Amino acid sequence: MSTRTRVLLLIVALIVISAVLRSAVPSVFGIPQPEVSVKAEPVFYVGDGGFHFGVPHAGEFTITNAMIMAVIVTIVLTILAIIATRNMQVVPRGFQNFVEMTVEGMYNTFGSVDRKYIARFWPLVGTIFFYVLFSNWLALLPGVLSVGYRVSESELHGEEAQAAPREFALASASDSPRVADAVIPVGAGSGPVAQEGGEGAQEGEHMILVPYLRSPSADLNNTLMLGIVAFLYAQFWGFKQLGPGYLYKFLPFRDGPIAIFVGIFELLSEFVRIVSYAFRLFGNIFAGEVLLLVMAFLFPLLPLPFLGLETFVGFIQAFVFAILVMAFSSLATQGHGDHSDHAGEPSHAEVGGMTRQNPAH
Amino acid sequence: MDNEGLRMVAAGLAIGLGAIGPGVGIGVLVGGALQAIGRNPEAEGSIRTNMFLGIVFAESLTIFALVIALMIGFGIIGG
Repeated sequence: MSTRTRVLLLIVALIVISAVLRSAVPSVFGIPQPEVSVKAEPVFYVGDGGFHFGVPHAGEFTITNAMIMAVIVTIVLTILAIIATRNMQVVPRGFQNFVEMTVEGMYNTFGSVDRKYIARFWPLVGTIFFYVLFSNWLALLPGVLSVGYRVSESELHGEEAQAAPREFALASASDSPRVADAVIPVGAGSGPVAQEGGEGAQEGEHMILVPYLRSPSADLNNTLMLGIVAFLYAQFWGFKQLGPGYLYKFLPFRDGPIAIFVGIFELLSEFVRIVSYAFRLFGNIFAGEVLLLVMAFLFPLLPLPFLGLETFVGFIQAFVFAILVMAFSSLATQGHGDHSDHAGEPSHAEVGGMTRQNPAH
Repeated sequence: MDNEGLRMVAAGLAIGLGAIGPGVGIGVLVGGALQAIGRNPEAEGSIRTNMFLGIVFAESLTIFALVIALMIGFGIIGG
């Protein structure tokens, strides 16, 4: 059997399975309507007495689905790094070879932005690249955003409002609002859900699905955090390389009145970059998820080409985020009107591979 | 028109108007990149990389508009 036939059979099987699920699942569980939430939803709460689901008590820490996914991404990256470096050979083979090729390829690509400082910037730039890449890509796996608990709209908004008095929260914490776990096979493609979405809910109350996992990139808190880190990193290298003279870029009082305005704009643009970082990543990934969700509920298998698109977008966004951190940090290390390379300084980047970072820097 | 309808119009306008400028920008950008590749096919690799970077910068403006549109549509801002 050729590969082509196998793929075609697989596709036909998927259509049949999704059609069967489509007709069987709603009568058993009841498919909740797809609910698009801009913010990450709470999954459980951590307090003094361990963690619990349900309604939060006062003063408890909320764990959202994006936070769970961020931890998973970190664990996956750590395990991959451990596997790749567990049994290191001088002449790499297999997985180590693959990882070295990937890291080295990205190192050289980012190095083309700033050959001089790539070895210094790579630890953060590379971390951001792979973290964002994995949080974008792992979110495309089936199960993310589609496996979760059902909750009625009023209960979720009651949780969001948080205005409920403590007595009420304590009283209703005993009976958990999680009615049953429900599955929407978004990744595999499910049939269109029409009006009967709320069928499973009692007395016609609108039930919505709150997923256990959500891409960290689709949570504005996470992207804002990355943006702030990138911003602080650029300021750090600016001060490190230029000393207090770094501030002259923002207060060019010696260059006349027009330069003052230029300085103000420079200062403003530094802060606007945080917002720009955060919204670019968040918007792209979140819009992609909404797109996939809508397509999944339109027709079986329709999300497939869009999954390919989202894979591409996920890579491009991770690449762009990292290369912007690189470019802005590199920009910050250049003094006012100083765009030529420092001939006296030794080059820290060597073409063709990872270099040891000079501990003096 | 009720409040809900106005909100939908606002969301549609936000993304619709926000897509015009970046659309033109991406068109100009890719046109320039294709001309550059036509003149200098050896430099295709680096031109393509920079083209994608430029596209992403232009596209991010649309994405900002999209975020605003979604926020309006979901009633997070603008009542």
